[in-house]
Amino acid sequence: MEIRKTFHDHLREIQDEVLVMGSMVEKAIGRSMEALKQRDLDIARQVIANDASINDKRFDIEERCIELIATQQPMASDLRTIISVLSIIGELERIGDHAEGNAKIAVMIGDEPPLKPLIDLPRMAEKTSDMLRRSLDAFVHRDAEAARALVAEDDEVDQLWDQVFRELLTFMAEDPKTMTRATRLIWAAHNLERSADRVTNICERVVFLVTGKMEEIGASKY
Amino acid sequence: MAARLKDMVALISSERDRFSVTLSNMADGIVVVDGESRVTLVNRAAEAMFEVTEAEAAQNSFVNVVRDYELDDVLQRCLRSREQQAGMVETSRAKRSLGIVATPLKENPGCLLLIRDLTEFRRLESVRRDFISNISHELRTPLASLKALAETLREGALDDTSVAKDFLGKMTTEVDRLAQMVDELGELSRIESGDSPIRREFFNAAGTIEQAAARLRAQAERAGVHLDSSIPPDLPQAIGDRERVERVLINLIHNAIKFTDAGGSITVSAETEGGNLRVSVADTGIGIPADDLPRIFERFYKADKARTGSGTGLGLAIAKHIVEAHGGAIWAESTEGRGSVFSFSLPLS
Repeated sequence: MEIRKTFHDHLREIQDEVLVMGSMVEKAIGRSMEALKQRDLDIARQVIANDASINDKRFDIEERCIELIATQQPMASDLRTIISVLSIIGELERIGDHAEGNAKIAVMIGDEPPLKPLIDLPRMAEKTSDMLRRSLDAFVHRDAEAARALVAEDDEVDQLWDQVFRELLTFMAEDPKTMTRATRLIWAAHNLERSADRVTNICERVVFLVTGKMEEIGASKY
Repeated sequence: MAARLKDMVALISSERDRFSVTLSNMADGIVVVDGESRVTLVNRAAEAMFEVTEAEAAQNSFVNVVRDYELDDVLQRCLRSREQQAGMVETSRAKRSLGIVATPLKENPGCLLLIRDLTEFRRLESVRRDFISNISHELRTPLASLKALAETLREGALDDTSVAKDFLGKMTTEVDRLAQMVDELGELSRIESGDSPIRREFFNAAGTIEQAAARLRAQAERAGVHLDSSIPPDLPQAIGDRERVERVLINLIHNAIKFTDAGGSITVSAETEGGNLRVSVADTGIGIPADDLPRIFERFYKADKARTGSGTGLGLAIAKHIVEAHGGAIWAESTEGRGSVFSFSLPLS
């Protein structure tokens, strides 16, 4: 009895650490977009520096999970929880890398004159952050239905990505001198599109955690 | 014995009620956690701050409730060190600035967290900072010109009469600009303090609007912008200070001309809506970023800091104060890259 209690305490701690990591990643997405929008190099450098902490957090959670498997031999839903956590933290780390990528793009852009006001890119960032937060809600509440529903929202990010891509192509076609600046913004939009896709992977893991079945819920357009 | 016990229970019960009332009426969020970071108590302010009910929060971990790693970090530092810890955190969920103080509890290994929403305070701080930086910028530009012109005159241009005349003309323009700024700041402060009362008399609203548009038509033409007005013939008379309402219109139209590229257009329209007169100045200009929109009526606030206009940066602030002194409202809607609509409404009675 005592052993199981200890095991579940550990599991709860791990789940809390996933939420901590999720919040770190969510802030990285928001702050890298702020850096791009405001052309604020200080914020950009802060996001780049913080990425190491996100990676450390991933390794720390991974180690705890491995230790728990090795010492407690969990089964059934406990084992599924740990397997899901291992997968979710991988996705979170990659989303963090995409945010770091956008902060690096902000540094590259530096004080170059802006090509256009950023409107759809912040929308993509906001939507991705919102999806990320809700995917972790679904994880905490073991809510497979909410996770399934969330996957469909990726279409919104895909549409915005389409829109940004087409618009920036127009800029490049009209004036080849905008090529470098437009390409950088396309990278930034692509990073966000990939981040939203990774959120859908988290949702699939939540469904697996609840149902025990691996499901490809919705194939991304890209 | 029974009576004493009863008194004691009543006393404890009344103390508890008092504590509970104090806690629930506090404007600051209070969260109490145990040594395992699990929430044991949240007050009403904290429930609203984190959009949870006490029942949802109870026995959940603090990070699960607040979903913010920086807030959680302050708590963890306090739990580890058993010393008071504090921090300032920008939340990503509602983009708020929260001040947090975590204090270890003496009687158990838990902590008490006091969380204060400092969003408004931070906003005002940023308004004050921007005001100082903007006013110094506005003063520096004409002063730098004056200094350069005076130095050039001293270094020999004074001997060339035609150049000296030209320079003196430019110096006068700069001095006029400074004087205008001082006048406008004075006007703003008088309207704000109520020292310069707003007259309340009937005036011809349609005529005032047309007159303001007519005064700026030549300037719009020079900028290659088409300025049009659409005023219904049966527009009723308005009540207020005609000269000042015209000033509002001039400021709005002048602003629209400044931020509309050649080939664009500006339309001034008016209508009655409920018991109000509503006047709008719509342009096809560069628009205003959504983040800047709430701040454009602040003194010297400039959405595009790189764009140095000819104005003093006080036009919209003056317009806002005049309209509000009439008991009306002023607002702006805008889509970046497509244009803006500045509207104000004045009560008709």
